[in-house]
Amino acid sequence: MVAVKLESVVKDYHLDKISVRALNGVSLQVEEGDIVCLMGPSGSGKSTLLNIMGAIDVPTSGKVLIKGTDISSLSDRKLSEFRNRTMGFIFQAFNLIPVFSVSENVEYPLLLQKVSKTDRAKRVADILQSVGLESYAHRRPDELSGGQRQRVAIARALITKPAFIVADEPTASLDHKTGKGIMELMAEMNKQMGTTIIFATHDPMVSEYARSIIRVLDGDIV
Amino acid sequence: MNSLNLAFRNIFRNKRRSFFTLMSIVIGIAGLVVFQGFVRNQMVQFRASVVQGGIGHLQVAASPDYYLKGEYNPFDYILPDSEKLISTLRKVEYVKSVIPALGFTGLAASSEKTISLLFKAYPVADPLFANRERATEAQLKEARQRPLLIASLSTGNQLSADVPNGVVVGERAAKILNVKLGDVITVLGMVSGGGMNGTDMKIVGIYKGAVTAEKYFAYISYDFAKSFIGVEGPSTLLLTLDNIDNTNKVAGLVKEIKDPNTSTLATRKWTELAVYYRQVNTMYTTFLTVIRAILLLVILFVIVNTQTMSVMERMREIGTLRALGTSRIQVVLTFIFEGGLLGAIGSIFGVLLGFILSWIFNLMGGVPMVYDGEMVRNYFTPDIMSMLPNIWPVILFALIASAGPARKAGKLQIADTLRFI
Repeated sequence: MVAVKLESVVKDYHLDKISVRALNGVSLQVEEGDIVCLMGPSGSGKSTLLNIMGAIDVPTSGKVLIKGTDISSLSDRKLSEFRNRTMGFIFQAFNLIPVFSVSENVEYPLLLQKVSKTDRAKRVADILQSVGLESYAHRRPDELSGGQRQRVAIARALITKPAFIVADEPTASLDHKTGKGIMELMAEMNKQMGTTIIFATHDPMVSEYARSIIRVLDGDIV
Repeated sequence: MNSLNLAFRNIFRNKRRSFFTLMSIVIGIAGLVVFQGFVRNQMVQFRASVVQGGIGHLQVAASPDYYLKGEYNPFDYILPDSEKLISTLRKVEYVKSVIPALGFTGLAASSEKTISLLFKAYPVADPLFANRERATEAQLKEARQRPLLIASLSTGNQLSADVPNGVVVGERAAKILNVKLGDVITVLGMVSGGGMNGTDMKIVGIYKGAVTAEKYFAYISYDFAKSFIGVEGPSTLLLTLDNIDNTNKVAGLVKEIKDPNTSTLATRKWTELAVYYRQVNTMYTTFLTVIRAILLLVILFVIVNTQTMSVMERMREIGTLRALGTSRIQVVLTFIFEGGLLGAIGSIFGVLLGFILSWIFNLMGGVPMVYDGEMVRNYFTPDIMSMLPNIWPVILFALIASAGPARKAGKLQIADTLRFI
């Protein structure tokens, strides 16, 4: 089954009167359950590609099908709901909500789905246990180390049991050992839950966890 | 609920900025409350002065001409068959009492000085001059609802049948005449037919009230006044009601009464008779409106600034929330709620601070002011029931002020915000 399919995707950025092409007619597809790594130098277009695959950016032209749905046909409300139910995000800078505790950060996507309080509490407890943070549930993000914050982000990404996870440089802000731990955790989640993982990285060590590698250069897949 | 919860927490996130934003609202509203309290105290005193002058909630006179040329010269406007009319008026809904009244001018002389006084005459059977110290709580409650009964005796007793020629004068008049309780003053007044009459009146009470009232108004027995100026009945009937808010209703009901003897029966509400009171009230209301408008404008700019800064600082967070599935409208609502909460918290604490400051100022003795040549103290008595117009416009303006930055937050492209550091 195809998780994500891109057909002739072009992305242009406009800086004042100058137009810069970030993606030059990219076509690709990612199979369900795969772990895909996007590699390429800075400015190659891998983050743009990742954003488009994660439905948080729109292509200038071309078609994006996620789980068979053409996301360009969705309204903002439908697309938000689609992201919430279908995708999980892991960011380089963790991007936890600072006014929420660890458990509230993880719980937030379920709140948007209007899951019952009892069910939310159980699922949050389970996922925090699986990432080894059950005793940190009531802490604020600024009371955690970088590795712990990224674990919270992983828990938040997985709490809705999404079809796939988009991770942009998930280990870039972490030391080597912690980064390795995070990648092992993601690989374990992929194995246990069958979640498709698409991530971008510069780090060859991190790319070793991928089953497929897509190399991006100057807006093209090479 | 998500948006409101998030909004509430974000208020306390940048404590320093929220503190200054809230303080600008709190101080502004507190200042407004203190000023309102001052104005209210002034107006209550002023109204007391007006009603102590014998206006009542509603007046009934023989004809509209009475109010043009008959006050204190009542001889051509005596209500005929007044007992029957009083009986009819007492049956009107909301009417608590119907008091026959006479008014005339007279020269009051002590052994040292002569001054002009406006004599108000009411039946002594009606406890017009209930002594505040002796009155029961029920009497005082009634007195507060019936303006004519709030005269507060600082010394002496109410008028009674025991001393038919008794008079109650104000502290100021007593001071000018240099008389005390038990002294006798000689009063010279015009009588029916155009002649003059003179009589001795014994001071049975001295009241404390509004400055003007104390100086010019004196109270005597209605029966004594009738015989003194030689008339058969009252020139006006003063109606006191169960509640001042029913004045308009009762005025309507009274107009429907067809008295066979007075086909042109005239009614006047206390607000119509107190022209100067109305002018002063309008002036203060205009002041308050202008101050409130300036304050709201300041709050508008403060909230716009705060919320714009907040959006700028939370770009990446907005992107994260959107990526997680928060819709555009939920993001917009979060920022609007945030502004609204700032307005609500600021205005509520502003009102509280205003009341606390008023209390402190009152403890310190209020504000000394020169009034009618004498030093008087004015206090701050803000009314909790009139605080709503201080709160809801602030919340409304805060919501409006937040709408712009909130809309901007909602329109941000997710990928752009996530690149924002």
